[in-house]
Amino acid sequence: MSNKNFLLGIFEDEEHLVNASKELKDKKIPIFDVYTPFPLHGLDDLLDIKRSRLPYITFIGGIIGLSVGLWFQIWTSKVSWPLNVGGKPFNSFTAFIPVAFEITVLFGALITVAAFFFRTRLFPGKAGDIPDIKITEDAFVLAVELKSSAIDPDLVSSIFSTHKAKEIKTKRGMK
Amino acid sequence: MLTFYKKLLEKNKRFEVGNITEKFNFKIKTKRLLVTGCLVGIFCFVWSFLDSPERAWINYLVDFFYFMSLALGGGFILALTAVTSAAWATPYKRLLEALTKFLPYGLILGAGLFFGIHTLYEWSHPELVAKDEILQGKSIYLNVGFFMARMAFFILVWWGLTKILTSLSLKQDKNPEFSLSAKMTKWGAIFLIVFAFTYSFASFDWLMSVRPHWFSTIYGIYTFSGLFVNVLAVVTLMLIWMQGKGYYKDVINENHYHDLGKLIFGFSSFWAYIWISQYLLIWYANIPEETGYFLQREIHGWDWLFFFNLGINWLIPFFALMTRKAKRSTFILGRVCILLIIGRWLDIYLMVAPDVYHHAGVTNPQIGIPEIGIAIGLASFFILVVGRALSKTPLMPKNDAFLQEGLNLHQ
Repeated sequence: MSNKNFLLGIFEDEEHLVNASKELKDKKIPIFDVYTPFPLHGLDDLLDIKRSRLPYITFIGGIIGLSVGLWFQIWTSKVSWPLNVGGKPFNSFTAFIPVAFEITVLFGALITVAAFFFRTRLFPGKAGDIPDIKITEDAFVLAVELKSSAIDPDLVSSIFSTHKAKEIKTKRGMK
Repeated sequence: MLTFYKKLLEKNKRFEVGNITEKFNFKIKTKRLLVTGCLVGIFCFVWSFLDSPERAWINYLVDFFYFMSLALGGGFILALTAVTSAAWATPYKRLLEALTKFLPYGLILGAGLFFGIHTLYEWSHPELVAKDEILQGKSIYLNVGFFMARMAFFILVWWGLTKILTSLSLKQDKNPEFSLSAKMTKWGAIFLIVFAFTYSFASFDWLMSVRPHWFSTIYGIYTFSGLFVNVLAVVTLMLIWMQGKGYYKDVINENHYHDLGKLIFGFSSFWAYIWISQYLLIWYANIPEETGYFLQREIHGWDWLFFFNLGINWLIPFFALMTRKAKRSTFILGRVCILLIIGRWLDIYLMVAPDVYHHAGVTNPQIGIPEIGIAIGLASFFILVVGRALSKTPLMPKNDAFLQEGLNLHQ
């Protein structure tokens, strides 16, 4: 990934960034990502961001948790060590529901977090992968990926500058 | 606060969305159809009354409780949004206000229940109470006079409080004053507290006392959880239907449905949570006087209704509304709402019918034309009242400070 080239437009005002994004969209130049200090309404629709597939992982994790939770309780109390508790049947399904529910939540959450870290290539001690240090404060950054020769860098910079970008710069090797 | 409100009103004027003076047109043809529905209901009631009085009165009680809860639910969401400064229901808050207009008719329907007391409630028979020590102990609370007085009191209080909330909202249409919003918050808070107590006791009185030896302290929350899902489902279905007829054009969009869908998904699960809370503790403790309630519902053909109730009210809605796409699609959401509206009826039916039938010596569940007919009758009457209320006022609150926020929802 490190051989990719990015053109960054750094804006001071969110309206300028939204306008620049609109013009890029009109010219059919794909936007790689937008970095803002606070959420901007309507930007998600503008960028055509695809929905995250993470909820499906959560769902599968929950199903696994539910099966494991139920199976383990039934196995311990019916197969491995049957114990008579107040004359209730060994397989007291009703009593297993709360525990099975908790294990569903636990598995769903942990598997989701693990999948998220795996997909975003995050691990403890990884250096921050930010395009410009100013986005941690008050700057709005628009990143366009310069794919081989398909996108003209001059056109992109001119769009940035017509929308009052404070700074335009290239950056190499961003994820 | 005042300048803030004025600024909001200015903003409302600048971005006016939709037709603010639009009114609901209640067609005479629909009215005629609904009056026919009422007549069908009365006919079915009389017919089944002549056949077996307990069947007629069970359905009367179930439908009475159903529509009183629904009307009260409208007031509950009005109060809730007023207290929490929530905007999600503001654009269609007139629908909730219209629902509450049914409450005064509850006085007439409740008075009608007087004639069914002896059929429905074991504690109303002095000769049975005389033989029963537990019922004697409860007779201070469970006696016909006090029962009717409490019923009148509950309905009058609900009527009065919802009347205050709706009239404040209507006053604001003509008079852009923020103090009216503040008053709504105050009365909303009062409503919520009063509602919590009165609705619990109404549930104890009307439903739980059909089995006077049995008690469950979570009963009030259980009926409330059903009420919340039900009113959300009904409002969603009303919106879908009205948008199909061309009302609320450009006002309600998939973001509003998404909000409602999330609430329906969440509170359907809340209902299931309360259901299992009640079931689990009784199952665990295994005390005969408590388990009798569930045992009654797991024998003689009631069992499949008992589990079908869980499926229709939670399992199917849970999986059907799980994805974002489903919540934003009126097709799926509308069908789930229909399911939940039927499910709520079944839920109340299962709280009443097994015990009354058992008392009358009928063992098996009976669901047929009388059940459907009486439900259609009262539903027609309900729609007649609500539709009439809806056609009197504009469909959007004009000067509500939260209108703009409610119109521009983002998900």
